[in-house]
Amino acid sequence: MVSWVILLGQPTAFSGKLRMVFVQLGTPFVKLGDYIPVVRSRRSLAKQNQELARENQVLREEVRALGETGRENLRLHQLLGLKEHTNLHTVTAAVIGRDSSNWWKSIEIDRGSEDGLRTNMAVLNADGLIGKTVAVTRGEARILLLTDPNCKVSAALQDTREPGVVSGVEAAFSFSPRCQMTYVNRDAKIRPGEGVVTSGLGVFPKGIFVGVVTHAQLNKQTGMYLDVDLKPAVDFRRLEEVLVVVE
Amino acid sequence: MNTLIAIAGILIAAALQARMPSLWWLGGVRVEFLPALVAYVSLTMHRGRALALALVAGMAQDALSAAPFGITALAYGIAAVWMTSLRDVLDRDLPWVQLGSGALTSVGAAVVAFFVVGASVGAVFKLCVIASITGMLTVILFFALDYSRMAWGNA
Repeated sequence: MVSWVILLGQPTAFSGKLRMVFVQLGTPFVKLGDYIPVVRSRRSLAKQNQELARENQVLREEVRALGETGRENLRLHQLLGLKEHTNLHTVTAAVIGRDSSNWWKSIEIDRGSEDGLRTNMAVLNADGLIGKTVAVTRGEARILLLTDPNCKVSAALQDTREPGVVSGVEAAFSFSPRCQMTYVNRDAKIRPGEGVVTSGLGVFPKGIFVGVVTHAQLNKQTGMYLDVDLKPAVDFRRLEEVLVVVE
Repeated sequence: MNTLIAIAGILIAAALQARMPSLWWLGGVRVEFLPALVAYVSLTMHRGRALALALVAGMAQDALSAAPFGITALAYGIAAVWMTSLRDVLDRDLPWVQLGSGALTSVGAAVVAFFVVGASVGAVFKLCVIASITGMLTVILFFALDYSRMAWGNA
């Protein structure tokens, strides 16, 4: 078991290749989920059923109603708008899977190294920062979400320009995911509702919206800096399309 | 052939786990099928085969997660070795044994994960919820798979 820890604990080519083998084996089954209705929860199925019934009525009355296609078009339009507004070179990707574990927060997208993706690339959508790529195969990539405690983002408060580090917070009940900005100057004047953006240090380009301040308090353990609670700008439960910043 | 079917079942369970929406009304926890499967194979198969399948299950889960590769395999491997060594004193047909084995496998995976993500009161509470759900799922899985094996054998 000790040798196991030593073998797999290191970022060796062997463990990397072994991981890729399992990703290649598992991903076709993940994609199969698109065709198996049982993978959706009863609740979402019931909700979807209601929506479809309502949509069906509208479709009968108005042929022009496009339903889901229209909504998708709107989302893609927002992404396109973001693409045009920024000078960043981005790749659009669709979300095809979530994290199989309860202790990490990540998603899988349908773009990989063939599309120019590499590890440690920023991922965003029209609302703001989503996370960064952590594992990339030929056709898929895994994104570590901003709400994961292991995702550290160098950020700054929009008004006061106070810097800090944003990461996810593991809560007992995470009805809505939370983030926390730590190492903020204890004398900073912070007010709830203030925006937080990426500072440009590290892998994330400067100026991407992260979230808004909900509460700030002195760090309980050291008392040397402020811990600022944030409400992320992105709704992580409803991610469908994302942009990966490739340059 | 049976091993291949078991591996295919594990990969499907891992994919299902990655595709299932989280239970928002239970604090956003995700139903875990793989610890239940590991408990089943550990209390049903020979040690070598159970250990191999547990490692495959752990690696399949890690491959579809942001977890360090091999960390869940380590937890499932330890759980498989531990349960196969206790099989003589455990009556696998008792529901509470099934429930306990599934829950403990889930707890083992969580404890190993805590070494990376860190533990908190909230995380421990979440662990208890996940272990309870996995335990109940294990009882259902034992019933379903035992019944299937019996039907398969009679066919």
